Amino acid sequence: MTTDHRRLTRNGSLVRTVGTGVVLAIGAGIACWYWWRGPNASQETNRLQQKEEEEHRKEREKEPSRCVIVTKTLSEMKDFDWQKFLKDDIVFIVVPGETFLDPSQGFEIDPKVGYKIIRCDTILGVWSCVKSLKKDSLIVIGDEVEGGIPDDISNFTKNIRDVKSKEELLTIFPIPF
Amino acid sequence: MESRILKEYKDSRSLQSQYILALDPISTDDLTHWECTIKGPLHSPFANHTFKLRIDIPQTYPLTTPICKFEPFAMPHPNVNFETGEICLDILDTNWSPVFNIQYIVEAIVWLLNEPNFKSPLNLDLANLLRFDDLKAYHDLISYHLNNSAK
Repeated sequence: MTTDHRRLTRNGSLVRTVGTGVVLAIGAGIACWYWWRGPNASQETNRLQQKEEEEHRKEREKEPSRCVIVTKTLSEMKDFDWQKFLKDDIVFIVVPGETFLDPSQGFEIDPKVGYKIIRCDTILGVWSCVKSLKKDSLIVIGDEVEGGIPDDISNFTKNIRDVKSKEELLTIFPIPF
Repeated sequence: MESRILKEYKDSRSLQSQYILALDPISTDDLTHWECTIKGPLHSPFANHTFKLRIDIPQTYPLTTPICKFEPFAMPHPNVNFETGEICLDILDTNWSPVFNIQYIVEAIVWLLNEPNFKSPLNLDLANLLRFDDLKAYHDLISYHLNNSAK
């Protein structure tokens, strides 16, 4: 073997070593990039989700608080996703004799919001609850409440919406069946 | 007054009670202002909740009654003003006797949570629910206020 041939062989293996090194370095770099980007990307997604939820919460807080008296028509809207509304500043007061999201009838309510349903044994109890809660707005189908809406209720809530039909109710709770 | 309070303070160190979780002066330098943590009685709408009481001892104690209040907007009860925490209880008013002490008062308040009296209300709406015998609404409305104020 000549000296030139040995030099060429040495140079060839040097090129191969350097080449392999470069390929490995690039591979490691790419792996590191994906490894770093993965958790950061999910962190970014979480951050965006949290921001969105926070904005939604603030939006809800701006909305006036509502007290809804659950009478026959509203209680019969069984396929309606009421749990979505329970996340708002809202209270459902169920009149005597009506069942509404009743766990004994198989409804599962998130315990974090289930306390927003108040069930009454008397109609006088319904109005005592309305007075105690002092929400911004009262939504009620007055014709379905025994004895109608008492005159003094306007002293305890800023706005009384006396709903006349199911269609009107659907404009207040606009979620399709 | 000072020796009486000092004795009550010493007694409170060894206090063992099912419902009184803590009963301490706010500062040991001044034994006229106390804070108490009580547990809601079992079988009452207040079970599984804790409540703070503020007790202020007047200079004329024990001849006159201490002033006891819940925290504002924390205690929905027929005999408690929800906004101020003021308590309507006979031993804190006309039926006070110098033989009563701070621990006795707190025990009486715990008892009151389980035995509301709708005839002397400071929360008219809750008292009316008892008057109408609407116990379902009574429990649910208390639960609403407790959960809502906890947020």
